[in-house]
Amino acid sequence: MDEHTVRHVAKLARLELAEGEIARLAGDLSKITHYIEQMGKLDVRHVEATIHPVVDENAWRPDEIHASFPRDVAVKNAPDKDQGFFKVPPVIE
Amino acid sequence: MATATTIKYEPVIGLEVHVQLKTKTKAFCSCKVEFGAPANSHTCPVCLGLPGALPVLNKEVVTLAIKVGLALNCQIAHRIKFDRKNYFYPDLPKGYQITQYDGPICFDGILELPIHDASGAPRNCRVTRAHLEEDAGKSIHLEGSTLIDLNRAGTALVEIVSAPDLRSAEEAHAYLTTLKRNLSYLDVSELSMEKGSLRCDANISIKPEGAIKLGTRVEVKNMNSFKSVASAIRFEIERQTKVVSAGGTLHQETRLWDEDQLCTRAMRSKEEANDYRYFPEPDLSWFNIDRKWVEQIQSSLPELPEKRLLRFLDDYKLERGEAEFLVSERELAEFFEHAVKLYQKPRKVAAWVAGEFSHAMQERAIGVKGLKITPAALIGLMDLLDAGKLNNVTAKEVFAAMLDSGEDALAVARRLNKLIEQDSGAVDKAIIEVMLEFADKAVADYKAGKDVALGFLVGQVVRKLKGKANPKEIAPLLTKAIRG
Ligand SMILES: [Zn+2]
Repeated sequence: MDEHTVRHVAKLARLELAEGEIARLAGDLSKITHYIEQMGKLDVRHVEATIHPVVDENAWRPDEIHASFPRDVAVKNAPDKDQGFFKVPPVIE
Repeated sequence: MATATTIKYEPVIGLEVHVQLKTKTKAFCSCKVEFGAPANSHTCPVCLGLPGALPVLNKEVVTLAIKVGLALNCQIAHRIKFDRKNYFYPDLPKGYQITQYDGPICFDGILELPIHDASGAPRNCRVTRAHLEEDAGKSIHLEGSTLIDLNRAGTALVEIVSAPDLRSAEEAHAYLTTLKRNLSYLDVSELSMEKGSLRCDANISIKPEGAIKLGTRVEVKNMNSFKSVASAIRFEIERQTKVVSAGGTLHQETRLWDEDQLCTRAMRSKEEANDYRYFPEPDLSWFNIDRKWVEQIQSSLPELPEKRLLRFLDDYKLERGEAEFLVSERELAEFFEHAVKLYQKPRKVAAWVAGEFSHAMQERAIGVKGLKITPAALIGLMDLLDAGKLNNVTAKEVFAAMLDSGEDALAVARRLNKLIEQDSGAVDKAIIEVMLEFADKAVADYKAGKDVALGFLVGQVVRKLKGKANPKEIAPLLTKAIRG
């Protein structure tokens, strides 16, 4: 994994990395991906992909309304709010 | 730049339609789904994306999605899972949307469009897939800030993706109308573009006619009606053709339709090229879709429009255009069938429903339910017409009044004084007056062999009787009077 990829992933994840961290992370992440890539040696053509470790199928619920948060509670922890709305920096300038 | 031979370009269009499902609660939490509620009054730890909150799938969402799939002639998956689509936007509190990436619940559907190709065969559009996903919240953009309401966050959507089979704005419009018509039979969604329960994005490209390789694709968003989808497509085809014909290159981009200026504009994007890093949603496991369940849903569906259309053509011998109109809305089709049960002349009923009835709906911009007329009341009117108590003109007047008052035909005809009574004295008097008045003109013309003049004279007699006469009965009386 090169530094360019690290920068790209960091940007997508909104992570701010110091210049010094990028080279170190590129090395660390490469080790991790190489470790996982060992599995590529196994023949898994006849093995169904595991999308979930817990085989808990059909865990659904009926379409019944339960109480929501009171409005003031919903926005209580927001850094900024206005008349019950969450208030954020402008999305479109 | 200009080449000697002009290359003809062919548009290639695919549509993505989002349909909000009409469930009581959201897709993955038990918050109420309600349009227009006070901001953030329907939120909980799950739909606010608070740490540690876990989604639980609403079973009704799956039921409704299966209905949608069946109405679009899709295959239904045996087992479904969900995936995360990762991106940051203030109306998406979790930082990802729960969706279905590589395993849609419905796939391989097809819609037959009410338009025909040069050979007369109906045009089809394949439905590649219809998958489940959750909606985002709503943003209100103000000067200097954006306000977020998360009531809509987490409500269930079905995204219906067409194959790139459409070749013009008209075909795209026909696809949308057919899609909406089929879904309207299911009662699974409000299907209102105005309220946002139906949204449509278009993928548009052009390629030299006959070429296999598709051109650069442009996605257009922000259309608020089927009409603006068609306008945006027309604009985009023209814009792309101009760029390419002038030797320019197109960029793969997202453009927004501007309803005021009637053009598309490139969307300014701060985001890097779409990189959503999809992966299986670890908080939800597999869901099995039992075939018995699918069959049960299938048998609970009303007769769908394609089938109903064929039956109307066969059973009632209707004109294709009339039958297509009647099945265009479930309520309209049902109104027609109720009426036909009470009156044995289906073509006559169809002509009224497709004519006056639809005209009234368009004029008032309301659906069948908005009109205060029952099938029995319409048949009452037709009985009066058949009995010669109303003529074609007064019947339409009585009909219009019935729509507003909800009274039956006889009551309205009496109230408006339109009923034709057998008053031969008044009829004779009117005939004599008309003959005197037009002795030199129309009467002379008729005597000279101009048959059309009779129609004019009959009209004059009916007018004198204030519409309370049947032209069919007046005509022979008038002929007799003229010939002496
Ligand atoms: Zn919730």
